[in-house]
Formats: sequence, C-alpha cells, structure tokens
Amino acid sequence: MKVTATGLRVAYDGREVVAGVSLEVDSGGWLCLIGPNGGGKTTLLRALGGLVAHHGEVRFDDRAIDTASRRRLARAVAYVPQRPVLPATMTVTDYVALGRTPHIAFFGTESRHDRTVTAGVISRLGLVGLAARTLGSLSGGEAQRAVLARALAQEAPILLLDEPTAALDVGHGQHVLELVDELRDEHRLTVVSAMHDLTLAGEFADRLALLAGGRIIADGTAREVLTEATLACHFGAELRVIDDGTGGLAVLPRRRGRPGPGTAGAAR
Amino acid sequence: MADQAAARRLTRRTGGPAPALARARLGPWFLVGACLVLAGAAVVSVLIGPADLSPGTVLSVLVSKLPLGYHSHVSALDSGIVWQIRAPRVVLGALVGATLAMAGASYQGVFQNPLADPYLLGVAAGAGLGATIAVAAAPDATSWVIDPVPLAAFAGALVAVALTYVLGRSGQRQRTTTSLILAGVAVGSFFTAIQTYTQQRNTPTLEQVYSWILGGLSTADWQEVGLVVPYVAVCGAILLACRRLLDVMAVGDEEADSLGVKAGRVRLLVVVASTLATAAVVAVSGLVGFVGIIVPHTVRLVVGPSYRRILPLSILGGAAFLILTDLVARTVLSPAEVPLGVVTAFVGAPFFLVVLRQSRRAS
Repeated sequence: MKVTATGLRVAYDGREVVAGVSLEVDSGGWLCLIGPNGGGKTTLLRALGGLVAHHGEVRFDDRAIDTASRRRLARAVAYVPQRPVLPATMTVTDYVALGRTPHIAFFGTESRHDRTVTAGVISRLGLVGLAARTLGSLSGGEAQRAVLARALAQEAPILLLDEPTAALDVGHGQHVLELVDELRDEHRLTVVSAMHDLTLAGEFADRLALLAGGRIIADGTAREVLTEATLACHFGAELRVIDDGTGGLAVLPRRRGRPGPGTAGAAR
Repeated sequence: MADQAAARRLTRRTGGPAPALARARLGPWFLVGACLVLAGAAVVSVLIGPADLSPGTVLSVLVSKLPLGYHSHVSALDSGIVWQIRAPRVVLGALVGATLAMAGASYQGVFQNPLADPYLLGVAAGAGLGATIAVAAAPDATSWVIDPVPLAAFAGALVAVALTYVLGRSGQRQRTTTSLILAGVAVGSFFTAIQTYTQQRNTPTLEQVYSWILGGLSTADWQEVGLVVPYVAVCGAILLACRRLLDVMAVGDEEADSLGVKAGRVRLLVVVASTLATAAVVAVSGLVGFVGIIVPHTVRLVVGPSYRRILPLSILGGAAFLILTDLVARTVLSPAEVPLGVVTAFVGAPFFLVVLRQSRRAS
C-alpha cells in the first residue's frame, strides 16, 4: 500500500512540531526518518498513523485516512511506538493476540482464525519457546520481537516503527531490522521508521528523509542524504561519512579537536 | 524424526522456567470451582440464623418454592423466616458483592490503577450525602410506601460521579486518567464535607445515618432484590461484553487507539455501567467498602491479568465473599448485628496493605 502525505502539519499547544511535510513511500518501500531530537520524527509517524490531530492530508493508496474509522485504519497500518507499554504479567501469546483487535467485533473475542494467525506470527518470529512467558520476564531483544509480532498480527500492509532498535545492542538491533526486511519482502509491507543510528538507517532503508525543525531537509538515497556537510549542519556534530567499499556508508563520530584525515599528515 | 521433534518440543516445554500458565480463555475448572464456592456459601448462609431451624426444615421450604409441585409441611412462621428473611438477604448479599467486585475490577482495568473502584470517583461520598439529606429531611420516612433513602443515595452517587467526570475532563489536555482520579478525590471530599455538616445539624438522626453509612443487609426483602436486579443484570452484561476490551486497555490509550479501539469511549462506557450498578446496590446496602479492591486482586493473584478471567471470577467470588461476611456480621453478636462495612473493612484493610506491598514490588 502506497503512503502519501501532502502538506502535513501538527501543532502541540500552538507550537508547530511538523511544519508542512510532503512525502511519498511506494508500496513495499522502506523510508527511514532521521534527524536530531525534537525534529518531529515521532510526531510525523503518529500523524501518518492517524494517531494525532493534523492538518494536511495522508493517503493510503487513494484513500484519505480522515475518512476511515479508527478500526479500518488499524487494519491498514500497524504502529510500534518507541517505548511500548508492556504489561508485566501478560503472556507473550495474549500480548500478540491483542494485534487481532481491529479484526474482532467491538464486544467480541478471538475466533479460530484469529488464534491461527496469532500462532503463525509467534512461530514466524521465533517466539514459540517464549509463548507462555510473561512480558516482564523477557530481555530487551525478546520484548522487541514480541512487539513486532503484535504489529504483524494486525496484518496491516503498512508498518510504522519508532526507534525499533533504540533499546537494543548492536547484534539484536541488526537482527530486528533484518527481520523487518524479510517480513517486508514476504508480505510486501510498506515500512516507515524513525531511527537514530544513521549507519543502520542507510544500510536497511531504500530512502532516507532528514527531518529537522518539522521540515524535510533532504530526501533521497543514503548517499544523497548522508553527507558530512548536511549532517554537520543539522545535528551540530562532527561526523565522518566513509564508504565501506561494498556500497555501504559508515557514519562515524569524531571527537572535536582531533585532527581530521585531511590534516593528519600536516600535523606530523 | 517426527517423534524426535515432538520430544524436543516436550522437553522444551517442561524444561524451561515455570511458565505462567496463562491463556486468556477462562478454564472451565475455575468457573466450576467458583460456582461451587458460591453455592456452598449460599447454602451455609441460609441454614444459619438466630431462629434455630433444622437444615431439613430450611431445605424443605426452599424445595417447596421450586416449581416441582412439592408442598412442605413447615409452619407458616418458619417458612416465612426462611423465604421472607433469610433467602432474600442471601440473594441481595450475592448481588451486592458481585456488583462491587465486578465494578472494582472494571475500574482497575480502564484506569490502569490497582486501587481504583467506583468509590474513588465519588460514588461513596455522593450516596452518603444523598442518604443523609433524605434521612434529615424525612426522619419518619420508614413508614412511607417508598423509602426515599435508597433513591436519594442512588441520585447522589450519580451526581457525584457525573461531576467528577465533567471536572476531570475539562482540565485534561493530555490523555491521562490522573486528573479524573484527582477530581474524584476533590468531589468526594467536598460531598463528604456537606454530608458531615448536614449530619451534625441534625443530631437526632445521627444513628440512622451512621448505620446506613456503615452498610448492612438487615432490611433485605424481595422488593429490594427486584429494585437492584435490572441494573445489575444490564450493567453486568455490558461489562462482561467489555472483557476483551479491558485487556486491550492494558497497553495504554495511545496503543489501544493504534489497535482500533477508542480508549476514551471504552472508559466512558465502563465507568457509566459500573457506576450505575454500584449506585443501585449501594442504595440498598449502604457503603460496604473494600469488596471492589479485595476480590478482584485476590482473583488476579490466582488467575493472572486477563479480564476474561478476572471479570467472571470476580462476580462469583464477590458474591460468595459478601454472603459469608454478612453471615459473620449477623452471627458473631447474634441477635445483634455488626455493620457489614465493619466486617469487610476488618478483613479488607490488612489485605489492602498486602496488595499495596505487592503492587509496589511489581512496579
């Protein structure tokens, strides 16, 4: 499902946090929002999910989301917040089954089909051994997989991920993103994520959009967006962008004052 | 190969750390067990009383009321004691206990607060004020055709909660339930202040007001049962239908929204249904405290966090609990009665502290 936003604006208490964003993500594509803290990434994601009052228009394929009910919307788009609420005593199975909510009548309970889908997602994400465990007993990586499982149980063609790797170490972060990539392939999911790790963002997403001050500053491939000049300007950081020789880019922080590569020889 | 895989699955299942055996559906054994406990409590309670009737006499009266064509040869007096005094009291006790426990569990679900129950949003203070005004205005009303005290208590409870909801929402910008609970505390204090003032201005009625506030079922008859049943049945059906929604509310308002459930709307529906049922039972029983906290938390400790089990079991457990506490209330000082609220609080207060310690450790 294609996601289109036109002239999107969101204000909190009169302060504009998203100030006129237009973007387009093709069906099956992965757009990653990057940018400094307070740049509007989370709010933009929530606006795309119809979870916050906004001006401007969001369309899924040709349908404007304002015209859809909350329930229909939840069948089209699954949202994984940065810090999901994990009820400590709830089991993984029960938690994943909550993802079926948009498919269940208001006063209803799970059908056999809902339970089949839940079991399928649990086994696809390698959670079978954890199915009876409580959320409070999971490690960070396991919990993130459980949250992803709940989102997948929604069977929505669009997946919004807010900082999916923020609480994870290098290995687990990479595994989660690889999993998202595989699932995107299997189900032709359209993914929009917000991420702080620029190297990972460039590695996994098809396109990056740099968001600062509520506006999109740069939009394109990793090579187009991740330039030293742009990053220095908008993150206020000294960074080096290095081609790893196999088509990937690495963004490395550099301690202020340490001689750069261009001056290294001169200093000696 | 298949056997190996099955064996591996089996060892994995038995070898892991003791899993919480939680599956959201209600196992039939819990339900059967709770029904048996409730039936046992009801039978014991109807057998015991100051009139010293033999179990055979009591059962004979009860069986004769079933549509089996059986006529008992028990005297009209004994029959009256069983059918007009004990039986309605047990049934009313069951309705009151079931409602308070069910409403408490539902409130805890929609407010995500382990200590929430309808009393917290002003039901208790509102009903207390209503009853006090009715008693003060018409002290001889017990001889009236319709007793105004329950009606005034019912109205007072609804006014207080409605006020809490309006005030709590108007000051609420972010989606939080804290402002609603704070508004409940403020409205409760305000109503209690007026209630105390009214009570002090009318000292001759002090005893009557006081005994209503402490709660009790000594006035129970079939008419009171008939007054309460419609509210309890309709509101109970609505709350039971919300059992899965209450589980969804556990992930917070924003994520519930993202799952297609309008959290605010569910909260309003549950608050209205719980409050209406609670106001109805409080109107006839007075302010019986702690049931809405003790029972759901005990159930939660046994069967886990899913409201698909907590709600039905709280209803059955609450009914059994109140029948038994009422039995204690009317037997320990027989023929005098200890106020029901005193007995539930005597059991409830220590339990409350245990729950507090538990929830603090969990968070």
